[in-house]
Amino acid sequence: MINKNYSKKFKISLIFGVIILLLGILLTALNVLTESFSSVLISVGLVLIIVSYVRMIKYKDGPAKDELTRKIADRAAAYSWFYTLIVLFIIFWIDYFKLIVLTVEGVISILYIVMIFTMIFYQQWFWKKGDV
Amino acid sequence: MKTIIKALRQKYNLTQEDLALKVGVRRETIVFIEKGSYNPSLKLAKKISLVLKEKIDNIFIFSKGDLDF
Repeated sequence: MINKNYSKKFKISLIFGVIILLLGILLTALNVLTESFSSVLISVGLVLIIVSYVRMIKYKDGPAKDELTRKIADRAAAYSWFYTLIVLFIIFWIDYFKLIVLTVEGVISILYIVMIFTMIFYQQWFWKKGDV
Repeated sequence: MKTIIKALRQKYNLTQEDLALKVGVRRETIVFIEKGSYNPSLKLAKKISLVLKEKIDNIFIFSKGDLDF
């Protein structure tokens, strides 16, 4: 019934990764970019290449996403957003009463960790249940 | 909710992977539907019914408690 080329999307992101990587190398060689910025470009390019290649091999015959994976991801994002809001509320009152001295970098790091880990946790949790 | 997808798959000699590919979802989704832990969308249920040549009502069997308002 359905005959799609599932690996096409990953091929495009693989090519995009190669372009970013080559751009990073080229601009570094020409001394156009700072060392830290060029290393970011090279790292992003490498990650894109690896992730796209693995997904291209894994999902070459079937879809990587479907209605269940999207539903789970959406619900996990909603839960993650809610827990991040709670953590923000706690951080606000900790700062207000000067319980701990927080820096901007520290707060951003906490939010990164909470957002990423709650998202992963709820995705795994719903995936185990089979539905949300 | 119970389903007779497994029996119909066996009737047409289809694996979970085959059915998943035919209806355009991941194999895991078919596993959860067969187990009754995931209620598919009407669109996906219709696709499954077309592949398995059976009416939706016959494939997905709801008990009284499943349809409580």
